Amino acid sequence: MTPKTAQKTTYSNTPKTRKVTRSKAGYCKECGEPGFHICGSDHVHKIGETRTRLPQMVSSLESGESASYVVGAYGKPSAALVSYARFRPLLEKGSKEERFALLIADELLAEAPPHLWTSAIAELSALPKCDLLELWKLTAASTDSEIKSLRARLRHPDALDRLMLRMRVAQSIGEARDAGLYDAAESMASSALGGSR
Amino acid sequence: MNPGAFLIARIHTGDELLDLDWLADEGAPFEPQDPIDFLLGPEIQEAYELYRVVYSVLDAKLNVRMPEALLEYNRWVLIVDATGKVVGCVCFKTTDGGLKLGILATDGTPEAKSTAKRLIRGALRLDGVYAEVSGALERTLIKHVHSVPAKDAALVLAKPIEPLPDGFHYRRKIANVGVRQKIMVGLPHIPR
Repeated sequence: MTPKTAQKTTYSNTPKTRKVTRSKAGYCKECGEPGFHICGSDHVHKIGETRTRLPQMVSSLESGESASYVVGAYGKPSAALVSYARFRPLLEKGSKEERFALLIADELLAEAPPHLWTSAIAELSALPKCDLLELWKLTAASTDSEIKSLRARLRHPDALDRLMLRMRVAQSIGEARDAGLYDAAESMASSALGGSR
Repeated sequence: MNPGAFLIARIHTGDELLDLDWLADEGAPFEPQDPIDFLLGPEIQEAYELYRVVYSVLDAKLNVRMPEALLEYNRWVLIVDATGKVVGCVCFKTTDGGLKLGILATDGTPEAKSTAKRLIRGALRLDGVYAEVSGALERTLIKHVHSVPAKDAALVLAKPIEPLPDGFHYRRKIANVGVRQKIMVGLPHIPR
């Protein structure tokens, strides 16, 4: 008979593919690391815990607060709960363009709130495959000359400008969140109707 | 409520605002818009200017520095006057608890202020719309809308709070601002 401690040791040695979740600010709620990523083994949600917290988890996925949860017994990842809205192109077997758009958005707008993300996917999905392939290269482009040459190869160069603008907006929102500006503004709203000029 | 949707409504000063179901139902006068198109249009600049003037008086430092950062909020109600000029804006954001009041600003005219107050008062009677308030706004609203018990507010916020003896008010730490006394009003969806 295997002692319980031995079981735990076995599972803690499994590869670190675990809960994938992040807050609106684009940071994992569990470990604080940015982006859509892999957490440590202690972030696999237990089945019993998931049963109890399912309404909150679904609500969090629905609101965009979390992207997904990984569930399993003894810290072993077995299943995932994902945001249907976010992964719809994959779950419904959307067009290649939609699926590619999702990958690009996931790579370049990882910290964006759901409404920026959704509109980006809608816009990118309408582009021809050749443009999507070029835009994917934006994930690796770092210099102005690389971006300029990328733009020159696009059939719809305005799509690049708008995608870069979305990235800038997502960055501004992330910085304002990190600085606590929204919390402060929402608190000050109570006095805002008294303001006049 | 669809967190992926970015919706803008335009209402006029003096509108009676008897039926505000559209705020929760996401129907007309809400119109879906790509946030980037909104950013590239003139209205966000007008709304940002209102925000900047009002909020810089309240705190010179804790302000969003660029209009684009206001796109954190995904439900906008713009109050326009007879000439089409934006004289007020009320922004909400979708959360686990429903639609939360975010920022509000007017040009200070009685018409714009009164329209904003009517809008907020009506909105907070809708299922799934809520706000955390204090001070002047609390006094304006408290007799007209439902107050949320502090223990439920803690569940909606998913943040630590210190309930006060009346069971409704609470104190909580707000980043960069410090500890403030608040009360949650409206009808949020309370996680159980």
